[in-house]
Amino acid sequence: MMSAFLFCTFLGLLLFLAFALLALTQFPHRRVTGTAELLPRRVTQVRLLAGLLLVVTLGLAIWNEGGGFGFLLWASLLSLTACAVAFVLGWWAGLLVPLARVMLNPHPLLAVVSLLPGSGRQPD
Amino acid sequence: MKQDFRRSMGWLHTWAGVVLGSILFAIFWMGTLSVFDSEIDLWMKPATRLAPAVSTLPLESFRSSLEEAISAKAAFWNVTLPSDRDAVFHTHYGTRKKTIIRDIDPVTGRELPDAGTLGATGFIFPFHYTLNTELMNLGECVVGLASMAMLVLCVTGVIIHRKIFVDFFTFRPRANPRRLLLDLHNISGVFGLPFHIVLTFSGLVILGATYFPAGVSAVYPNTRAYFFDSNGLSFLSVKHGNPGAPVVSLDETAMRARSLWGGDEPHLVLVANPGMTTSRIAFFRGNERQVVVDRDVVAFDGPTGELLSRSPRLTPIMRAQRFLSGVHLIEFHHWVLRWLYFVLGLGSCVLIATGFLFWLESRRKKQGENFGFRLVEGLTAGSVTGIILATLAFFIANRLLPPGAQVFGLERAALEVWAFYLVWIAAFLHGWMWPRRVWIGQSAAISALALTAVVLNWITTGDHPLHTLFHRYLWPVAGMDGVLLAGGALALLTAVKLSRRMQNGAVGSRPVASETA
Amino acid sequence: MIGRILLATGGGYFASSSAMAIFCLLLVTLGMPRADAVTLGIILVFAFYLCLILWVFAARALWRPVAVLSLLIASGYGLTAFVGHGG
Repeated sequence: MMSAFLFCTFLGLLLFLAFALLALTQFPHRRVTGTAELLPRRVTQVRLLAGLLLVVTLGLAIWNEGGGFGFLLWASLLSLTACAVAFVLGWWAGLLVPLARVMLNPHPLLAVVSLLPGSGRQPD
Repeated sequence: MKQDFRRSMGWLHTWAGVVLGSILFAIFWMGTLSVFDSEIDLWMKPATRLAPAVSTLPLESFRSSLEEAISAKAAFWNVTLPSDRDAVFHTHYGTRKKTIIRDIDPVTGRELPDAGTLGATGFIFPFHYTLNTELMNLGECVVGLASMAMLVLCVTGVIIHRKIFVDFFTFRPRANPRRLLLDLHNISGVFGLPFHIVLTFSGLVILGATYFPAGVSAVYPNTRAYFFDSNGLSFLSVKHGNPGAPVVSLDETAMRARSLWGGDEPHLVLVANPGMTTSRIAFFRGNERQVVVDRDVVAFDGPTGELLSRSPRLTPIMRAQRFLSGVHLIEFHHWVLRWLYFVLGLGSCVLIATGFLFWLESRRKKQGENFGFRLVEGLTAGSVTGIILATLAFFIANRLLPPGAQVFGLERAALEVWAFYLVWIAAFLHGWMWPRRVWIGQSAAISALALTAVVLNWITTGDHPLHTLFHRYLWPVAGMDGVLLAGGALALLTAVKLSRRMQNGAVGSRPVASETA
Repeated sequence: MIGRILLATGGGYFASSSAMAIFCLLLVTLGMPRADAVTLGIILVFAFYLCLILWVFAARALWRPVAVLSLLIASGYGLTAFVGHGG
């Protein structure tokens, strides 16, 4: 039971990330986080990445929980995490500012690595 | 043309919502509570709060109950076996006049004292699909009509939503009340759309043969024949037979059923026509580890113990139908999913409530004194906060009434239901008579009643939240107390915020938070 | 408007009910097991009913839905009266 709970939290976080990425490609939400608008090319990239995340999470859910439960879990978490993104943007938009900044970076992966604690070590 | 289309869809959305919204809220509210029906039962029947037994009792220990059913000339007798949601056995038999349900201690096999309540499985769950109306199929028909309206509302809602993708994540908590309500309505509607549609649709499909008997009777002699055929229950269509026949050992037949299932355990054992020459013993497999409802019924001849039938393998179409009903009925055991269902169900309640409130808020300035407006305002109060209050009253009555209580010849269980209806009607009246402060008053009442329920549970059973949290088998009680406390706190917050806003002069209403009681 | 509501709920109901009866009879004559045919009919009929309701409200000229619905109802009841109830 505990493992199912942890797995769902993990799944939820991934989905939250996917929806946050999607939301942060939209102009009003970029304005709320106080970051500049994205280039059209980057918007497409980010949306593709978010779409990929959604598909991957579905795969993960089905792989871990089986067809029926996996799909139901994924679908219900989809609704809740999207809702969570909307609430976070409404009440605590500040939380998403780092993510919004990373999306602007020309090399987002490097930027993510440098944000991690203990990034003094060379990422290999 | 396009504008015209949108306008007619908007008209349909508004009026279908206003007219059937109350019924829809009741259905969704009761459905949401039914997600935890066994857990609420545990709260309402303290005698069944027992640690699960290490080894299950043999089925033959229910022989005396079966004999009782035989001598009462019951049409059927059954026993439900414990599961990890419900630690006790339930025996159940029905004569022509009434059905008798008993809870059995899983360790000693003794009968537990009658709790004198219908509980969630006896009141809240049936209310969800019959509105507690037994007059012909009236309740079911109204629920079916409301469900069709829900589907219409979902489709028209998407059509009239102007900027569904642009506004996908838009939520402006600091905007004016009207804007905020619309944002909330959109968020709960759009994000919950799969849930609203799938649950409504599967609910209709489950009762499909009731709603569309014409299609069934086109190829079957009656609906019953279809029911038996599609559920592998054709062994039940036998003549009544003659009395005086024995019923063979339940344990021995159970063992044969288990070996047919490859070791799976039965969930329910049914004896139809007990004591008759045509009696039947049937084993229904547990359904806990899969979404698809597949009981795989194994039936034996009662007097001889001969194997009669086993459900055929599900065809793809039947499988699709059983998947839909499984998604709706949540007979599987998956705690995380169960909580997600509960939260999504509350989301549907928020959707309906904000729909009402948006309707009120957009008309308040222009026609705030009209009769129609006042009517809908009271209707909203009664059907949103009112039914929450009524449910809480049902719980409180359950903890307050002494065992065996009787008033005006009404049994204890009926009195609880009366408490529910009286409070519900009072909430409607309150909404119509004092509309100005109705939301504040009812939100405050919700928080007070929720707290009262928790305290009463503590006083009458000694199971306070700290105690229940540390015993695994009492977690359902802890969960219910926790939800009551959280909902109560949220309702209190709402009441405080609303009254502050009222003092500041703005006539706003934001009782959305109070849906979580 | 009242006419439309009545037509959508009542007329739509009887029309989809007849359509379902025709559909089930057709499937059974084509050799599908009865339980399958009825179950498929039940799953599809609600979607059909929904479409009918929306169409009645969306249509500009009311005579078209009226004509189609009455045709469906008449053919459905005609067929079941002709074939008789299954047994």
